[in-house]
Amino acid sequence: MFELGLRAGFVIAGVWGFLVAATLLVRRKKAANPERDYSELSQRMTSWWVIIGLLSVGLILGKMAVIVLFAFVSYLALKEYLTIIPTQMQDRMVLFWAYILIPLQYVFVYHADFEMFLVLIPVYGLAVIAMSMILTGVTDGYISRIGTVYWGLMMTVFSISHLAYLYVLPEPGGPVTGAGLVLYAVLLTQFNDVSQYIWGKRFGRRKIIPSVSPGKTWAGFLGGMGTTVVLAALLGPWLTPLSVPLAALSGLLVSVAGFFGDLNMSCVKRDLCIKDTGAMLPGHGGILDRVDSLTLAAPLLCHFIRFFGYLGDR
Amino acid sequence: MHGFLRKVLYYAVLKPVIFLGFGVWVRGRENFPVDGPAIFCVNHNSHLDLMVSLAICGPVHRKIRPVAAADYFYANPFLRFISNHFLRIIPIDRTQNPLQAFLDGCSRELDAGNVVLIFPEGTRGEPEQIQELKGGVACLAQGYPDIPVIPVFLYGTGRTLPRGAWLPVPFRIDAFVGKPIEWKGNREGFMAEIMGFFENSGQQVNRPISTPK
Repeated sequence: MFELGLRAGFVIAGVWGFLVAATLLVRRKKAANPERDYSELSQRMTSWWVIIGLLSVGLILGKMAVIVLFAFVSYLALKEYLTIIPTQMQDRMVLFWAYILIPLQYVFVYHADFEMFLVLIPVYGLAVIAMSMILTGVTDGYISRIGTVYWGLMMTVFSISHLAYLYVLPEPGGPVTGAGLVLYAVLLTQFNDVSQYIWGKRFGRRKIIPSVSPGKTWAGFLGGMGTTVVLAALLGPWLTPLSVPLAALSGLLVSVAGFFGDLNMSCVKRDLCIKDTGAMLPGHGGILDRVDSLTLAAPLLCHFIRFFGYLGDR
Repeated sequence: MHGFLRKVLYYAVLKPVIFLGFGVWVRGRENFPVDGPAIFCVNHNSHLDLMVSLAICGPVHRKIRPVAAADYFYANPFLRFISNHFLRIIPIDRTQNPLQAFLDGCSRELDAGNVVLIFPEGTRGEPEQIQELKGGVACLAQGYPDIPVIPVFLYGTGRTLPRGAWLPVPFRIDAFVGKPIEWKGNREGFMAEIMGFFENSGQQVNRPISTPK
């Protein structure tokens, strides 16, 4: 119950203050220009309140709540992914096994069993998905069918569960808590998304890769990166065992991985010719539209923090 | 007693399973009436279709009476009990003059101010494929031209729990609720409007699906 820690508690309070200020700002803008349409912005704010609200409650309640929360996020993300890709009726059992891997993966998070956590999907999942796919007896499109299911598991279960694993990294009792590490990862990736967007909107001209996403500009990417590195250097030494330079480096990592995670989901959507992956989060789209940057950043950041913060001098 | 149990099941089981477990993206929810009488016309792919319709339609769910085949839903005493007290079906005996039984059963419920839920395809059929519609609902609408007929198109229920499967594999469900279809004096035109809504909604589910060859 009291695993939150003082530092994480302060940061949560700060985030709430930030959200209150942003909400008031949107309200004032709305009142100042009644003729303009701010509905998407307001919807986005409401969704942010729900996301931050759920995360805060989870972090305050403790380990079990955090793990259940992220397991549910994985479930929703995998379900959304399997809904948007072309799946075939005969592959139902394969998808069933894909779903079964979610609770297993999070059980290993709960027990902080790093080895099983790491090998469940790459080793056991690989075998189970292949075996069940073979047993469908259908060879038409075999490679793409098995590829899409496996890739989806990596993106939605393997990668998001790394966020939950951050929670079980620190020994209880110290000033650095699991809640602090989770907050650090979530805040950095989401803040990086927002600041890349704002820098891009304000100064962006030269597009980086317009065939994937016309909105991504060099100014947005670099400006967002700078902002994220500064935030990481400020928060890192407080919320994580990383020193200032290492924390700044982790900010750089999150910024680049977040950028590519975002584009990764854009590629998936462009391939399928859809705009949003769903409508679960009004203003954002589906859940995959929100966790896209985490898909690559979460595993990288988790390993970075574990390697530099918890393995010591080997 | 059954009323209380129904309420508990609805809010504690049905709604969480449908909304959290599967997830429904409803478009046109405002087209559901707040009260009966009304006729809901739903495409049919899965046993989940009725459950999803009940979960998404709001307070009017209390009035829903689905039209169902007596030989299937009264197949054993347990199913009969569930069908009568929880699903509250309008049983149709398919062996003798089913159209008359259908019209009589529906009229009784509409006169009582209830919502008749009809699957005009008749059976669940192949997953996510629309079959030819039966004309019973047009006959009913002819007799009740002032009662709103709401078309509802569901996608994803057939993938989640197709006919013959016992294990649901979750996919998000897409629901499209249409504006009431008015009776303009001709059955073919009426059925074509319902079919048109189903097909149009099907195209808005901008997701590829392939069925086994």
